[in-house]
Amino acid sequence: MRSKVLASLLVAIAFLLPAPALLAQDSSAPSEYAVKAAFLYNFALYTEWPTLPAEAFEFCVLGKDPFGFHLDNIGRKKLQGKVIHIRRLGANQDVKTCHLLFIPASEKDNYFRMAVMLSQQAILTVTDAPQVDEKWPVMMISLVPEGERYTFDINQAAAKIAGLTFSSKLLHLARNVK
Amino acid sequence: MKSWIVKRTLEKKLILVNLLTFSLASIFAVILIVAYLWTAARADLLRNTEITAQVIAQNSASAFLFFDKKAAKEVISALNQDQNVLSANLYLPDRSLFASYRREGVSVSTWRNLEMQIPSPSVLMKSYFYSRYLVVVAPVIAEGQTVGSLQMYVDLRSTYQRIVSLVIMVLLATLGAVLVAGRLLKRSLRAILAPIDALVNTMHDVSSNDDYTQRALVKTDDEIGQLVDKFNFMLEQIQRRDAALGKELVERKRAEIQLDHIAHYDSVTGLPNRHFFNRHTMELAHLRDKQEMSYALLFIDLDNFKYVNDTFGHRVGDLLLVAVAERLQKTLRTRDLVMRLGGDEFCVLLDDPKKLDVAILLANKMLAVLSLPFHCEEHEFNIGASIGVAMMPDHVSRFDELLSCADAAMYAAKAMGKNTVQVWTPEMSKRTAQRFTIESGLRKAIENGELEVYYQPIMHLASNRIAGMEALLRWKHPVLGFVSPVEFIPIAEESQLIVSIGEWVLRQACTQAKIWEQRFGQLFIAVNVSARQFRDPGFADNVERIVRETGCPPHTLELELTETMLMSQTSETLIILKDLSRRGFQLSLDDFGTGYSSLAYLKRFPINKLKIDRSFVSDLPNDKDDVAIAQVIVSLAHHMGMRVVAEGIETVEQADFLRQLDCTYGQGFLFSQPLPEARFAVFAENNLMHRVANQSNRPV
Repeated sequence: MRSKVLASLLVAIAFLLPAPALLAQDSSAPSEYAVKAAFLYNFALYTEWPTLPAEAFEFCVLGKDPFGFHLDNIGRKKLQGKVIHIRRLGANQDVKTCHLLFIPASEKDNYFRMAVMLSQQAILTVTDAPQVDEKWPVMMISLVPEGERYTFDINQAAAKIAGLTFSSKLLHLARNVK
Repeated sequence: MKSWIVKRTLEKKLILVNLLTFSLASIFAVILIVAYLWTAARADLLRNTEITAQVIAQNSASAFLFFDKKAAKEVISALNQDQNVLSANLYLPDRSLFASYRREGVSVSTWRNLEMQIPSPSVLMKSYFYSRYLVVVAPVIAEGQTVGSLQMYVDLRSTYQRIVSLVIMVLLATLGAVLVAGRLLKRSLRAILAPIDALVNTMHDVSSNDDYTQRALVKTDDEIGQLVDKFNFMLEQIQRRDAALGKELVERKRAEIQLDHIAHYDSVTGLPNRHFFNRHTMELAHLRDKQEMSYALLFIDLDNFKYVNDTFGHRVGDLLLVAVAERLQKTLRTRDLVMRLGGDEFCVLLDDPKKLDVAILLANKMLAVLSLPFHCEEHEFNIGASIGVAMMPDHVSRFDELLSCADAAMYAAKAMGKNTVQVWTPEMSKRTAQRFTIESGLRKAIENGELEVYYQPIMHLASNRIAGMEALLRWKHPVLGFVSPVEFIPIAEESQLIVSIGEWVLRQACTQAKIWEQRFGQLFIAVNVSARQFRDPGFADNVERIVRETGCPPHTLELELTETMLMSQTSETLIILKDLSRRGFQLSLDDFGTGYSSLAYLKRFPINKLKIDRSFVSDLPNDKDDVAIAQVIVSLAHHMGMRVVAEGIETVEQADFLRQLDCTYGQGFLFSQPLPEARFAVFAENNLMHRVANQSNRPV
């Protein structure tokens, strides 16, 4: 009886409160590359490299950089206590010092050429190419748009060869795991 | 039965106290346990919920990172494993809902209440307890960054239910413990109380039967054991004391009976005594209130007992009393009661004689029995009795009056000449009253100067000249007037008054004799001595002192004694007489010839003078017997060197005859009656002045 009275009182008080945050609109949908940049960082979070870098994680973007300042935002974060260096690579630049390599869909050919160098290198390779086929060897994660948001596919076999291990949480979130 | 109650109550009390204590302790324990359970259950719930929240938060971190609502939903839906979780929400840092989970079956109203709270993101986990649910807000952290928050609502109902069921279990356990404890207590108390019960039973037996030989047979080594030991010790002491007391009581009872017997029975005759009479009549008086009964009291006084007692000693006297008692008892009817009141006085209480004639008949019968001769040892005694009769209720209404009336009647019988029966009349009591008046008056007579000594001249018959005088006591009572010595002397004799009166008379006589000696020359003075005076140990000393003080020559003092005085206790009498004689006093024997005269005694006693009793003189000179007696006495006296005085001479013939017999002195109305001091002096003067002129024997 008493608890009922108390409950109704609480209800009354609740309705008088200012409008709750729940009703706020999702005002600014993040831009495509902001999401993709965040994803890169998140992938790195759930990936285990055979050895930790001495000073910094090298995040490399092959060819033309589609992220702009979004990627630089990532470069200000820290990963496992290490700073993140953002590097934009030209066609013949050394790729072996990179820990993560993003290959935009447009750099398909370049990637194919240098893929031999990547073999058995502990470099997490990510692309946003819509179609990943034999032209994309050693591709570990590929971003896939799904409605308004993005999902991704994981090639675990490629990662294993490279000596990289993905967190189960990442595997769980992936759309497809090969 | 009683002990049972005692035990029950004691047991109940002890159980009550014990259980109360136990219950209090249990309640305290229960409160502690419940408090612990409450806090522990809440802490448990909180910890579990926080762990769950932590796991969910961690698991959902990746979903947040990849904005994967589906994954988030999946993670959060794992909470349906926990039935207590009502709902859970994942919020983005901007407080917008990322994913949510609602438990199925939760009512809308509950839901609405829950949805009110939207937590602000924080790096720390927070929990809020509400009355019915717990809210935990946990941050979702990835790589040190808060990427979202988890809000979990946990229902407290099952926790409460668990607490309640635990409390119920604890209470049940406590109740069980109390019951078991009560059972155990009862059993152990019974073991402890059994000795007390036994002790109480023994006490009950002891007190209800007054049997102190019983002992409590209880063996315990605790305080009850000590109590039993002490109790037994006490019983033993009581038993011992009881025995001692019983013995003492028996002794005391015996002594009491003995004392009672001594007090109420005469030691000589074994008859009840005056105390018995008083007690007995008191009892009868109570009885008489219920039934109309008549009683007669015969007051018996032996006539000549005093003589026997004085003459033959107390031993013979006692034997005589026993014989009298026996005869009286034989004469009585069975319900009559004979008592000895003291001395030679007996009384008989006749039980319901109904008529005075019956009482008189019995009285005469007793008189006849007592008149028969008594044989004691080799003596034969003829003693009569004077019997007074009084009846109740004819004469009086009370027993004490009955006794005094019978007493008065007895006195009347004595006055009538003894050996008779007299029935009480009112005059008799008047006379008795007069006796009391006399006795009480006599006590004050000397002080009041009511007593006076008269002197009767004693003439030398040959010369017709006065030779001496006899001192005679006269008493003028302020109311009664002159009281005869015959009346008051016996009364004085009965009390000790005679001693002081006798001494007073002696002093008066000696004083007067001294005065007259100077005036008329030497005259002897004869003073009567009573038996009581005579036996008084200080008598001789007193006489000598008076003689010395008054200056009267001892040889002129003549102490007149009676025969009966001398006849008893002769050896003692002889000593007294010799003592008096040695001191120089003259001794004369009064009324000679009237009693049991013994010539042998006369020879042994130092008697100086004999007095011929007036009874032998009155019929002289015509009665031949009296002539003979007078002749013998005078002759006897002359031959034994004693002088003779003839008493009661009234005629000239008597005087002449005695003069012829050569009787030394004469005394009587012929010469003079007893005269007061002044008139005696006149008489003496006339006699002595005219002795030469008046040769004739004419009295003055």
